[in-house]
Amino acid sequence: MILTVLLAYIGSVTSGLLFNIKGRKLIFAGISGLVGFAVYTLMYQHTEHNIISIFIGAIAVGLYSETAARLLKAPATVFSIPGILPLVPGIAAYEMMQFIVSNEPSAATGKMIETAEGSGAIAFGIMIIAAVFRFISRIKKRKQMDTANKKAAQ
Amino acid sequence: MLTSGAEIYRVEETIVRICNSYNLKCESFVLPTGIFISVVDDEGHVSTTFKRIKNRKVDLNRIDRVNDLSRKVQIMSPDYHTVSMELDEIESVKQYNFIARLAAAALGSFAFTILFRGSLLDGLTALVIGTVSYFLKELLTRNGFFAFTENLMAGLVAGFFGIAAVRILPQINEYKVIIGSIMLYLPGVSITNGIKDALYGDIVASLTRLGEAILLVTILAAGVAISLFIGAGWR
Repeated sequence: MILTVLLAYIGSVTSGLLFNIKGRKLIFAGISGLVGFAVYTLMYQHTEHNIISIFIGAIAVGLYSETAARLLKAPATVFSIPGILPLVPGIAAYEMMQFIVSNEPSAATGKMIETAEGSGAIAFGIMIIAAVFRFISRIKKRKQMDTANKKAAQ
Repeated sequence: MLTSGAEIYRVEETIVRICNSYNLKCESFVLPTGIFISVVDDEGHVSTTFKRIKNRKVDLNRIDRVNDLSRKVQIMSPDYHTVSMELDEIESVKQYNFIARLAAAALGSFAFTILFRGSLLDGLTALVIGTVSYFLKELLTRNGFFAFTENLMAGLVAGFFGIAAVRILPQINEYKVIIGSIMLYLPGVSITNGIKDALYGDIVASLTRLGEAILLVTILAAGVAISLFIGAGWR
């Protein structure tokens, strides 16, 4: 468990480096992958449901990257792009392709759906968190404007 | 910013933010392949510019820096000279050097292979493949090939060496090695940005980005598939 999580960290850091993330942000981008994969592994142990585990893992990555973005003053994508990579359903995608090559369309379809489910779960997880954070920051901005207007009126 | 792989709304917001700080009204319309900006000054003169974006290369550091700069501009509205000097400085910040990136690609392939429950031997094989394919990718990039050829090449190399490795050492799990070594070529930026663009209402850009991602993945898979086809005959 600890070993796999550490590997997820290395995977995210190296991909972050290829995307040219600099300095301490690179370290935090790696933690994003670590958090996401740890949550995924824990969920998978409890539920044995791959797609839901990926979804919760993506939510964890989203939460982590939006928070880190605010603390470190960087765009959230800096942390979320390397963070989701360990969750990508690579094995299903590969098996799909192998079935296509070996001329077994029906088996390939099953794997194709599995791949689509996995990537959809990641997309949906990140989207929900981004939407929530955007909503919160809008409310905050509106409140700030309100108080500023009141002061101006006084 | 757009060339480095920023989201559409971020580019549009930056443009509007900069214009507002100089008391100009402006509208911007951004697509993944170009930017339209139209500015209205105090006397009602309209000036429009259009910038076509051709080469795209992911550089998250640059997005981060320009984003910071635009916030600074908003607060302090400095003169043109200061801003352009800062921009030049951002542009001059280099990528990590080739050795570091090569090492990262190798280590990344290794980590992802073992993450997919491959054995240590699988990991080491992927390490070699990752190094070779990143080296070739760099070669292609320097000679100015399309992103598509890079992905095709990555798939081909991973598939070919994966099969060759199994021929030499039969205890290797070929599919874990291959997946691990193509992991770093997945278009993570296109996918994430495609989703975020859709969320902010930039549907055109979102579909373009997701389409790009699907194309890139398909070509990557096609590369592996071609090697598997050849490998099936060879075995």
